[in-house]
Amino acid sequence: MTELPDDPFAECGQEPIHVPGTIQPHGILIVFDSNGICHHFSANAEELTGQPPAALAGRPLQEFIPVQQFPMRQAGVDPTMQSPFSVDISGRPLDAWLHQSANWWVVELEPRIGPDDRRLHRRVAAAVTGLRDAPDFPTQHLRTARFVAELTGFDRVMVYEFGPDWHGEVVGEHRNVAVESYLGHHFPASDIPAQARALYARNRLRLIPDVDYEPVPIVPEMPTPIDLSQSVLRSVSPVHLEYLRNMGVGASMSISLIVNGRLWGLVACHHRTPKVVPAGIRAACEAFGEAVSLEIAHRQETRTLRLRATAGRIQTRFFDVLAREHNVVDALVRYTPRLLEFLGAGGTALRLNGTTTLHGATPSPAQVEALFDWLQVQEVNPIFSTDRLAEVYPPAADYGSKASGLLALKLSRVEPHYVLWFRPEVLATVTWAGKLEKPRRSDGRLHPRKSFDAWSERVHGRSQPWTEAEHTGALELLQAINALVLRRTEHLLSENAELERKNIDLHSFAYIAAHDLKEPLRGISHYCAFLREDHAADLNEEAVRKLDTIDGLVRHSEELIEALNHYSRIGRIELSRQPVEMNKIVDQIIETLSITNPDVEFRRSDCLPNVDADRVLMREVFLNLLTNAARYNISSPKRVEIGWTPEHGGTFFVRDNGIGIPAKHYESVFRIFRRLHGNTEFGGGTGAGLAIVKSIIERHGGRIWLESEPGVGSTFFFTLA
Amino acid sequence: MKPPGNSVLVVEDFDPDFELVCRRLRAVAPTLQVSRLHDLDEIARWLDHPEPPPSLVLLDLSLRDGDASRLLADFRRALQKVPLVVWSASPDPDVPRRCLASGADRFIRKVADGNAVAKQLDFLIARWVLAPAD
Repeated sequence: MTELPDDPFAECGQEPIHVPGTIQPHGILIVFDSNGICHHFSANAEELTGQPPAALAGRPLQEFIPVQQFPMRQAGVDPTMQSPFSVDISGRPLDAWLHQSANWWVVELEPRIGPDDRRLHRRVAAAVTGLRDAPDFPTQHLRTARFVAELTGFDRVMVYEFGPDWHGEVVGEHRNVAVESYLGHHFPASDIPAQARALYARNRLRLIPDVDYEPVPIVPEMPTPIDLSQSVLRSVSPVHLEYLRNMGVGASMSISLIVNGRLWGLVACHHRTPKVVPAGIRAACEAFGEAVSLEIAHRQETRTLRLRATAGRIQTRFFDVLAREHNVVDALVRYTPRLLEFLGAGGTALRLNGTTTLHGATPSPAQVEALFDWLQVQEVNPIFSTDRLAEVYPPAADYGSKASGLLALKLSRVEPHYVLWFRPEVLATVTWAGKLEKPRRSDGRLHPRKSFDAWSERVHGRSQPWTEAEHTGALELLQAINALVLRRTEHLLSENAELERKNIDLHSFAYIAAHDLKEPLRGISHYCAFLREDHAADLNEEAVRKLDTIDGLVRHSEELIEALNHYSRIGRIELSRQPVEMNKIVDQIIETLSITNPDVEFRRSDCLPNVDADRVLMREVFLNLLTNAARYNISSPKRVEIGWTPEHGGTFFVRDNGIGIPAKHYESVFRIFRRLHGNTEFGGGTGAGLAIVKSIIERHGGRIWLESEPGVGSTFFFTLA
Repeated sequence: MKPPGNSVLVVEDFDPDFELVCRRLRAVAPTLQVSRLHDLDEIARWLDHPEPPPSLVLLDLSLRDGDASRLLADFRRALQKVPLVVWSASPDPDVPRRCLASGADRFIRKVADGNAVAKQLDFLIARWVLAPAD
């Protein structure tokens, strides 16, 4: 974008325009004290009093003005609000304005001109209705300008809106064809400096009937110049008058538009020649300005609400989807495209747990990473937004077409989790009223620019601005995510509690099973024995075989119950961690098993590291794995190898050349009582061994898995945390 | 050497287990008197007047109205020299140690194998009833 001149009218900004010490000549001004004694006069007071100002000081006001006509005598009435009022001095009808400035009273008098139009308020009321019925802002502004033009007769009436940077744009205009149009033109902020804007906010209507007026001093000169902020006759800055003259303006009037306490803009009126505006018309304009302000506030509010409602609908859909997802992070990643729709952006970047997901038109991953680094040191609490990123973060100039606008939402106060929305550059043409250049200085003072010819500028590096509704939407998203995370956490807590309860149930069940279920089994066993003893002579071979089967089943049932009890116990006992020499444990087991399995070659191929674990349980792990490796094996010779590799931070393994396990059973072999073979094949067993092994390893923070090829062999791997 | 005792107190609420005990006692010592208690209430009443003292107490822990292990110490106090044998199906590996610490002389795990239990009972009777050591 074009570089604006550095605060070009900084000196204008310092000019004390509220204490000029002079007034415009179309009226007179008298300063008096609370006792009604006059002290200072505008030098033209003689027109009214017939005596030179020097002769007037110290005399009571009522000598010149019938003060009984003043409205100020009623206690509690603000005389400013009653102004203008009519007074009659020696048969001359005048309009009077009264206000207080510090300890002084100020009365300003102008000859009354024009008829007292009784229909004025009706016209204003009708115009206000017209504003309300306007379908949009442009129409409203046009109607505002047209009504003021009709009411006052100014050649050109403009609705001038201040931007956030206080530069102005003419958003509505009504003009006499003879004058040039400024509609759509922009004016730099320095055209109306800060202290002028402050006066506009205090004094809602200013009139300069003739820009070529001769200022009238207030005499005698006051030791402390009186503050004329509230004055209607106050003399204006010579720079401003020159500015108006350069624009070809002979008379001007402006009406302040204050929306929600902020100077929103002005209704600015220009006339090529000098022009007086009757006090009644000015009062009507002021009242109309109030109505215009209210209507703008109302329309803005409606627009914000409508935007918010639209954003709300999109959000609701998005949140619905989010709420159905189990994992908020996954959901956000998966629905990144919806994030775009959510805020009407061109691209998004989602950074969660150190991983960045990009969607749509975004800067490159490296550029986004650099942007995250930069954001880390910015104030993002929890939102950072700009429609001109490159101005605050120059590297963004490289990718303005994708990210001239940025809205960053920080999802966590501690972790660098973000959602970023990018908006592309909007190439805009701004028409300035006059080329932007440094002001000239000559004969010891500043001069405003001479040309107000339209001067177009291409603006770069800007995106569509982020609206207040969009900020609110982003905050609501954050709240929704937080609420979801909270709900998930609560859900998880309740699931954990449920799991805990189930574990206790399982424990209780296992205990009950171990005792109460075993009791009838014992009874069956006893009665089988009694039958054998008492009826030995009556039992034939077949009967004895059936009794043997009953005994066998009873014993197996009891083993299952014991295994279940043991399994449940592994899950709940306190681990007794200590340094365990795995070599020693494995060698002892090999020694034991070699006795009962002389046909198996057990071999420890590596030196196993010592681990911090529960010794008894480690022994159980290897005993189970080695027993299985030897048992489910029909090779000759049967080989079982025990080893260790540094993979995964240290992995133990038990490899055999056994029957192998089909891939589809890799998971299920670890389930309790899951047996892949008949009860009697491979020496029976309860089917709890691997479930117990898995439970032990998981209790130690490790994991177990297997690789196998049916007919070739299996390898069980496990880690310990 | 003491004369052989003539009674055994069996605390057991499960009939098949009680019957198994009776059968073993009848088989090896037909003259032995067997008295039976079923629950904690009966034990408490009996402990008030533990007469005549039995030659052996066989105590099941899990009774219909609660766990008898807390009465072990009372048994020990009431019957100072009488052998106290706990037999239980409790799966808790810590139970035997606790019972012995509370005064039991022996712990037998009940299993669903009539022959194994019978052998253990035969041994107990031989060891503590028929030929009690000093």
